[in-house]
Amino acid sequence: MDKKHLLFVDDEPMVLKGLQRSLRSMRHDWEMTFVNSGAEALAVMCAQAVDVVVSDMRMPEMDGAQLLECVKQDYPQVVRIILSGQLDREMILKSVRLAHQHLSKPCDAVLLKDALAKTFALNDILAHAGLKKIVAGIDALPSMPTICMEVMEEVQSADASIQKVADIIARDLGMAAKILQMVNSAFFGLCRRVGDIRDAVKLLGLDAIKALVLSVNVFAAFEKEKLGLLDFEGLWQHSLATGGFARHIMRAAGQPRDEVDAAFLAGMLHDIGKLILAVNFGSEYQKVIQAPGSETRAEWEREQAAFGASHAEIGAYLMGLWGLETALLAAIAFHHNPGQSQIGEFGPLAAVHLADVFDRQTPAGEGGDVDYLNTIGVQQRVAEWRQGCADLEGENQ
Amino acid sequence: MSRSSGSLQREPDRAPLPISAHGLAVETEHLVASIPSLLIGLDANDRIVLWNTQAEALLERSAAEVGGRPLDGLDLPWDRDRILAGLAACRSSGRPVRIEDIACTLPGQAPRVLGLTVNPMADGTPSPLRLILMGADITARKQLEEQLAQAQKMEAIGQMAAGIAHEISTPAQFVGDNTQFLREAFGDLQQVLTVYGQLADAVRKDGAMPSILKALEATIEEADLDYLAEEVPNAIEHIMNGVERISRIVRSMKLFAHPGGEEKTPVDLNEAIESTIVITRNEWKYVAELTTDLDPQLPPVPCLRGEFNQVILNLITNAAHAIADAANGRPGTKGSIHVATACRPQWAEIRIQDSGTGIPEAIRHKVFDLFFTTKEEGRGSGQGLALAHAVIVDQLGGQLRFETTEGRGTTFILRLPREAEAHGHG
Repeated sequence: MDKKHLLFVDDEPMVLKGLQRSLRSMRHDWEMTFVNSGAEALAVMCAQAVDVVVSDMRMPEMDGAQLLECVKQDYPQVVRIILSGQLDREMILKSVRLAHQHLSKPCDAVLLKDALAKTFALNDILAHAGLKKIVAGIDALPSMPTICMEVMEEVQSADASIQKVADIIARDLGMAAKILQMVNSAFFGLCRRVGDIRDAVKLLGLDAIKALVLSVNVFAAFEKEKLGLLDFEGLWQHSLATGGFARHIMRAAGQPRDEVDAAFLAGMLHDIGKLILAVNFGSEYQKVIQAPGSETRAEWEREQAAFGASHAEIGAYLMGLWGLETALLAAIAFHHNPGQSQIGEFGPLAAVHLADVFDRQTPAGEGGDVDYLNTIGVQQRVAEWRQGCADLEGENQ
Repeated sequence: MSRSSGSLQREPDRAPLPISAHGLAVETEHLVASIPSLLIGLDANDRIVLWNTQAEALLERSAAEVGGRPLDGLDLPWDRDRILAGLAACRSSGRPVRIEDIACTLPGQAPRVLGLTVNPMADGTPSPLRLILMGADITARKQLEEQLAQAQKMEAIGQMAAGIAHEISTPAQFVGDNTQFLREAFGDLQQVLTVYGQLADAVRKDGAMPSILKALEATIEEADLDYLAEEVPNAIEHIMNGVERISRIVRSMKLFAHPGGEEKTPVDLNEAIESTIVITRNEWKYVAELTTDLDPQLPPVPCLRGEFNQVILNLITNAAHAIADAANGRPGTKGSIHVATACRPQWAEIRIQDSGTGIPEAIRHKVFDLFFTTKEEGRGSGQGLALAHAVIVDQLGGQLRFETTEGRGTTFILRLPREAEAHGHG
């Protein structure tokens, strides 16, 4: 296996020495370079391939934001992580589009090792170098133009309310995903996972949302011609329903609260890769969606044939880069084919898989991966859960 | 109680008052009644000859009650001694005397604050009026001032807390990392020592040597013993350094936050300045080199420690901002801040010099004004220098001025009296 190359940048030499020593146990797997400034970091990257950059934020001359801007521009495939003790909101907003992940100093060595190892494990989800480069370069997901306008108007109005903003954002997949990324990043130092979009918006606060919308432009309206046939509204409806169903199934199976929340989040985000495909592969992706009547393969299988990976793996890879937990990633990556995952027991993956199937109303007989469901021993409960989800939907209408 | 008019001229049961005798016009009388300030007029014998509506309202005594009686004979709800001292001072000097912050507490009401001026009437006027006491209820203004000072304090504390968190996070990061390393290193060393133990046993028994030697070599190789031998002492050194840094910040915070009470106490200005420099480090370290030249001969100076610390904090922060503004567009160049103390014959002098933008001619006269700021929202509310002026000049009886050249920088010069003044307030 090739050694991964990590580049650490900090203006404080003692922090670098400390990192070097505490990460020493990884020396057989990782090659690590430690430099004191942004300029040195760029020089290293110019000379050798780097997989991950871990940078401090406040540094004299070139600061972390400026460095990561350059890295993003010239080496989009490189994973960019900020390790900073600067807690202020301004810094977070400055870096939200530049860094994949934010870690707050002091950061426990075990936690840092874990975050880095998780990033490398993403290779198992998506190995295709070209796709990885595209996904790593994504800093925002497309949103519905009408909703962008609404958010814009609301935050600028004299009597803007956080409740209204939350309600608007909760209707758009791209915005919701970005907000969840921010709130769940270690930067905010929250101990619990935030799965509810309205809660997430409130946690960020009106000022932060305002800055995100107006100056950081984190919510990008999609261009109609690019998205073409993708049914944006339908995608979001399906995402919401899948999240809700997955939560229901987990509860019905008596799973702990934390797992239930994970399944809900994964359900909401399971098709996020479709946005990435639509934006980056416009016409090619349209061809995949518009399959001739004779086509027998499922949409995700056609995606794999056309791009080397389906929306499931691509979405999971981005969410992984953005620091979402491994449990969620598996549920997103394998929601069509859970049998191919390493997960041999019931959990968010199975719940999202079933929820997706239930909402797409596929006829009986296509009720999911029966072999897998048998293996993990829940097949006999599927009918009951399907009924429960149908009832749930009835209540909501 | 008569509220119809505050003047005393129509009281029937008293001798006609001099005011009417001298024909105070009805208009003037109305004017006096409608003035929103408290007006009390005294004749040459300190007897009350004027007592307007505001005086009635503020002191809850009617004009009828007090007219013609000497002021010092009345039991009024205010600080009588200070009032009388003010009257005496005005009479002897013949000049207006300001009496600030007179506490006035009516039974069953919240304490209020009055601000008064005693004005002498020119000699030779036909009126019997000799002194006019004029004043107003300044309770609301006082409260607002207090709230502003409090708000400024909160702003500074918030800013400081963020900066200090960052300052501590750096050493905390490498102390944690080094400790983690030592834990792992010790585990590796234990492995090596175990095999050494086995080797010792084997040597004792004189058998199976080669295989244990091989195992020992492999363990040493895995543990990277040379690296550990070199790095463990360094790691310990760095941990000590980090803990010392954190302790220094914590010590400085304690010194800074020490409220010091409301009375002036002798303060070691050098120590106070040094602690403030430590806790503001995050404000200046990215934009400037900070040097000091603190006079070790400087004796402790009567001072309000908390307020003084805040002034120094404001001035250093301002200096850092001015340098950042000057460096805007020229990244990579650091400015300089120089803080010096010196002992002058009557003064302790502090100079805070920066290589920032300087203060433009047009706004120089406004920099000490409350709420005057050139900074964008969130970086300053325009209270810093106003507060500095209030503390150094008004409260501590010192001097505060600046020398500035546009494009070159600014030096603020603070002077505090070395000996407590015998008189004066604060």
